[in-house]
Amino acid sequence: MKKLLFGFFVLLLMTGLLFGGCAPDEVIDEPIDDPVDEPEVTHPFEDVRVRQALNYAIDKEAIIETIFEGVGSPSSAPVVPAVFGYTQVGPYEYDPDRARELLDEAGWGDGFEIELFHPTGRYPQDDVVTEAVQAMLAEVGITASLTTYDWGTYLDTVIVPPEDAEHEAYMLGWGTVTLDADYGLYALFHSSQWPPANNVSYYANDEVDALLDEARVTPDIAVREDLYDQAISIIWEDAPWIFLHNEGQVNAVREGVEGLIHHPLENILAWDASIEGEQDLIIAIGAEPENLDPLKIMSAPAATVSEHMAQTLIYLAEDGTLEPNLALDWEPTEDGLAWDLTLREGVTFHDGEPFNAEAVKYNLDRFMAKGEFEGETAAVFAFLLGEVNEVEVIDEYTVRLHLDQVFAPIASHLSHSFIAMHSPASLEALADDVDVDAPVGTGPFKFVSWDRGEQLVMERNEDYWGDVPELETVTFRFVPEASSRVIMLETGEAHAIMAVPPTEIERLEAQAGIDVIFEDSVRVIYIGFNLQPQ
Amino acid sequence: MYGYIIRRLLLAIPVLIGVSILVFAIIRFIPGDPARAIAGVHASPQYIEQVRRDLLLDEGIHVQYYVYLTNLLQGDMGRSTFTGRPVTTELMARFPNTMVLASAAMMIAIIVGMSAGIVSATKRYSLFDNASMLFALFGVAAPVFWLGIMFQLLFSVHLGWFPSGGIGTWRHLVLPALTLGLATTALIARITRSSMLDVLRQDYITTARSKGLVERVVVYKHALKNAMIPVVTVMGLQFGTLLGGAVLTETVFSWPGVGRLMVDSILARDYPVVQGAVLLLAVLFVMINLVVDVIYAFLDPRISYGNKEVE
Repeated sequence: MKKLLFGFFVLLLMTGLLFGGCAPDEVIDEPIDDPVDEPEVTHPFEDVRVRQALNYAIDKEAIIETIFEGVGSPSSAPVVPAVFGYTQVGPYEYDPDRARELLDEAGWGDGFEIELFHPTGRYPQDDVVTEAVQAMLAEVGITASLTTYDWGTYLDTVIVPPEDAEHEAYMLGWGTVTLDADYGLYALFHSSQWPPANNVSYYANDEVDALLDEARVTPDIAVREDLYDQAISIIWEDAPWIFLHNEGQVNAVREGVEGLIHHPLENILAWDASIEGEQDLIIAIGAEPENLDPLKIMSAPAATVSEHMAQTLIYLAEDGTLEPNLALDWEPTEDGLAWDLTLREGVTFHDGEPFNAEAVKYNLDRFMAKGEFEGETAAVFAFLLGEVNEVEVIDEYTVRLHLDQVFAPIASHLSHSFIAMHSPASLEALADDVDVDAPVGTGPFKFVSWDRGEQLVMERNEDYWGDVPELETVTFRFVPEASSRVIMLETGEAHAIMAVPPTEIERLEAQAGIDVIFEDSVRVIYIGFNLQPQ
Repeated sequence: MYGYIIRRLLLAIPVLIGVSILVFAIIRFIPGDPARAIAGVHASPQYIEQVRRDLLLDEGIHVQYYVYLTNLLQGDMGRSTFTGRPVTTELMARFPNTMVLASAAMMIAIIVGMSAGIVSATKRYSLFDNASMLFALFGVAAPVFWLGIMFQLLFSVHLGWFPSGGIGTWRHLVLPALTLGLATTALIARITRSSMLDVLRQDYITTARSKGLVERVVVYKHALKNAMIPVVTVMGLQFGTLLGGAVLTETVFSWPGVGRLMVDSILARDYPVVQGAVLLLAVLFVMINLVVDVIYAFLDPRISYGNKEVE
């Protein structure tokens, strides 16, 4: 970058000397190098062949095998397979010869230098992965100098307008938490989403924009799927990133525990679980929920705990399908500018209050800071319902969501575990400035106690509207140290643990009485190119 | 005596103000936008703005500090930006746990360390002396983190005697207290030994012995009290260290104390809680030092009720 600037400066200076130092008549006689006729000085990343070459240069399999002990899979699209709209277009095979050919064709056969920025301590082994990439790029003649940042600083450094960007390439990850391609593609590849939003590569392709725009407003599922297929194929060929890998997650469970759901959203769900000869399930997880109030909730551990007690209107199953939960049915109106939700009848909250359309309106209004909550603080994740401008109660068991514009992914957004239904009476009873810390929902389990730094206990809801769980209690214990979680599983102090460290997998697999479970996560890890080098 | 204590108390004030400035400044000067980090990657720009307003991040640093200090003096350390609960609530919920753990570790260290030190000193170069000093060397050198995991493997996984983590009964306390206390035990044993040896060489001990006093009286009555001065210093400093240094132990054993709260908060960039926890530990450290100084004065009147008496 600096070299380019320097080169340009030298060129200017020479031009100036030429014109300034010579008499005009001499200039006319002598043919001189006009800077405009010089081959345009371009950045290698402006050439799609170079971007593809870099994808061929990286051995994704080797990264997964050696750094992650086989957990995870090479990226085969910009989103993970569990996402609605996913289509397999990759992976880019590891082929350094092909990479060198492409670089030659593009005129960069002699290699070049780039600045590669990456965070540390954010994604598993992020710094090690970047170093591996650096070494593999060196094999095809590209010298990448690495700059490491702490996470907070990192975001401020890379999520900036193009004119402020110092990086030529950067590492980031993205979890498509709604399991709908809109969330994974629109935010990262639509040209309207340049920083401060999340299209950090400054990618802009009119065709992709049109496809993503159309998919947003197309209610027909098959048509949407097709639009995403097309968009994904174009993005893949355009290669605005080095597509690295889909993260994996590893849980472990003791023998005799059946029916746990290992959800790709990094959740472990216990309502269908049972333990041979026991009634009380203990699950050790790494991080504690920060908050269980829909207004403040923001992490996967919090979602895991919350989902057992406070339910969503629509349930996002582990295979990515949307299933009825507290809403039985959801349909757009004729013009697509509103959605009608038909609610489940005969459901009561844990405090005996009825679940109905009023309760839904109350919860959604509170979440979005609309209606009677106008002027108050909206939820951290209120953007999920950014297109909703009003919630209307049609009758006891029907609500209508009015949208600003047609927005097809609304149902998958509504399935987000943070948009959970709490008893309005329990929310009203909260004093000012106090958050929900004992959720009163409609779920299969009822809140019992929460000892911060230690554990959260819940008990079976005997009046649950669905199948009443077999388990009497479920306890989530918060154990930050991964090796301590493994030890708890071995001693039987926990029946199941989340996030087994890669180094322990082999040892646990060898033990009788313990099952190691591999599940994809929803996050892709990539190295993005700065497509607007200044 | 009271004058001495009051003087020490007054001296603590600038130290505490210094600490508060340091704590406040260090965490703000980390590069990066705190509002963005706190709000999270998925947060909307509006929410980030709101966090910025809540934390007064747009005001000058001196305004932020002034507000911080005035609130602090009223016992208000702000709210955790992660959990949304008052920092004081968070700290007070965790502090007793850390206190219990540090006290148990200290108790082990005092009983085992001092006994070993005294016996080593009186039976110098014996098998016991050599063995316990070797053990002490190991205790000082072994990393807490590794030690904790080894204890878990041996006592929880293989022997099944104690739970590997959590809090509840006295059985939950054993492994973390041992882990945390081992280094201090070793240190106290070594200091006690060398200090005892030092004192036992003094003339007045020879005098006591020549008077025909039994060795037990010489050692425990005459030598021990004087040998205690450096030991008490180390104990005091170590107790402070134990309170702050419980960070690793608390993490390995999922012990819900202040140390772990601090680590979790740093990871979550939860500024107010980090500030509160560090400040709390710093205040305790200053207080413990004060207590140590006062105990000195009791142990050795020469140290002083006033400078002139020293001179």
